[in-house]
Amino acid sequence: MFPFTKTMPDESGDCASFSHLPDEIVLQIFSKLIDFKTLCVCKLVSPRFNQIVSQVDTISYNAHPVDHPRFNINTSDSTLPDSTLPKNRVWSLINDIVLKPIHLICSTLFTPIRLPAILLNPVSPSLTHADPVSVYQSESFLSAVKSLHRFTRLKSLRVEVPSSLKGVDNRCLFKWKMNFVNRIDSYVFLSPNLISDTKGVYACRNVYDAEEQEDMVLSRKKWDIGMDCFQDAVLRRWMLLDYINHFPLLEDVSVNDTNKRGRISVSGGRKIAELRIWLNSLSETTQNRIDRPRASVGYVPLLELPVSGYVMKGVFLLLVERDDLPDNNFDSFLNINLNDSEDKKESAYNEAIMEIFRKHRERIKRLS
Amino acid sequence: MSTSSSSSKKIVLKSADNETFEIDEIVALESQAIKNMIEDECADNVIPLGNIDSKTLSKIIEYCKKHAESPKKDDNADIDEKAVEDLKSFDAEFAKVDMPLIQDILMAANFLNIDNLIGLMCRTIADRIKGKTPEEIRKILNINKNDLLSPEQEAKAREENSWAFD
Repeated sequence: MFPFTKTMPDESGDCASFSHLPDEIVLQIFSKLIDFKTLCVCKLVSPRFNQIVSQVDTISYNAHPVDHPRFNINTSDSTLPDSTLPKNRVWSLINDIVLKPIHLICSTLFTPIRLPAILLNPVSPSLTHADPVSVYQSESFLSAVKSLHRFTRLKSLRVEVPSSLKGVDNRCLFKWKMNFVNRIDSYVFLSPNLISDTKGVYACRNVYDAEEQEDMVLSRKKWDIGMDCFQDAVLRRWMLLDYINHFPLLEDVSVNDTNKRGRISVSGGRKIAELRIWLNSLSETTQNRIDRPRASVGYVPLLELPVSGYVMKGVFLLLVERDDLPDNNFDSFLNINLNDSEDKKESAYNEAIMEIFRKHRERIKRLS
Repeated sequence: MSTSSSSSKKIVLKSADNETFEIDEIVALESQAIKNMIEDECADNVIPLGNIDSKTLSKIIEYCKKHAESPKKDDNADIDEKAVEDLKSFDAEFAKVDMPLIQDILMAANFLNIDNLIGLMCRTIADRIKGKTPEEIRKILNINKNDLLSPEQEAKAREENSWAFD
């Protein structure tokens, strides 16, 4: 007796064979889709699709405010998704951790140093007053997060969000990086004036001749961008924690930047489980407690990056750390695995961070 | 590995429309279902596949031949990249067929338990519906016109996923 011939319907050649595909196969197709928007669209195709789609375990969501430009800053709290992060808490977080230190640090940083007084005014109002929450309060984004929350079997989630910075010159070169285990340990922002591959620079050798003077106006502008990105990073980390809190099966999660400026991710079921335990151990008040940050800045005129094959010129660095960490504890910046980088440019920035903390530590100045 | 030696063991597959295909055993082993049958010694020399037509079956054999000839990934670590690229472009070409045939291949591959081929077909279908509207997806996949959400279900799904329809 042969088992193959009797188990199957005799529809060979029939065009309507999709309904004969078993549910596991249909789920496999959806799992290959990954694109969040199409997955949501599939819910409308048929009752069977509607039911199976919700079981996918891998999603990638790209939020493009350009497509959905209806920002609404006055959205009331009731429209927020069920989340561990009510809006007011996010606000207090940003106010406490970022805005106050900015005022303090700005005044101490730039008055006693070489800056002319006129530069104490914000270089660009649109930069310093960027509203970091506006992107995340667009109706479209909130609606998307709500429907994302219905995919309760998610194991792998990749979210891509645009920067909340408005009016940033996209030709400006910078990337940032945030280190955290539970609480945020440190944040580093790196912005070179120029980056080129090794060949290009060897072709015009004289760039080695003179040590370039730091352009204070430019550094001030980079400081503003770096601080704005810090707000972005803090918010995105909270987004990430929200996902970890919401999806019990999650093993891999990342919040990326549309322009690849910085990425926050956690991978590995154990790490995520530990974060979840930490999150649940926090009472409302400790969750609101903010650790005082301290900031340092540095400028390196020239960085050679042999591993990634790039050279950077006029590199500005901003470092924000938790104040209760020991001094000069830069271990996390000394051993970055370059293979974890998403592309060659990111690898170059990572190598640059390591170079600075290895060889140019004396150029990093703590701001009191 | 045997590519075309006459001495290697042959297996004959018979399609629903009674066409027979003689293939090397190593090609047939790409199918986990056939492999199990051979190992359990419950396969005759001729294996009838009463639910797979000859058009679909010949495509599947084409796929299995190519994959049986290619060095397997786990064979050795330093597999040459050219072979990988070659297999990739073969897969890409292989998937350039119409949707009914893709679905038939997928059904048959699921039945014969050929993991790579199932994956390839699922990916192909996913790529073709990516970014499309519900109506377009229904048309592409030839979903039964009567198989629709009720108006209430539809309204609910639209409301819950409104961001995707802006």
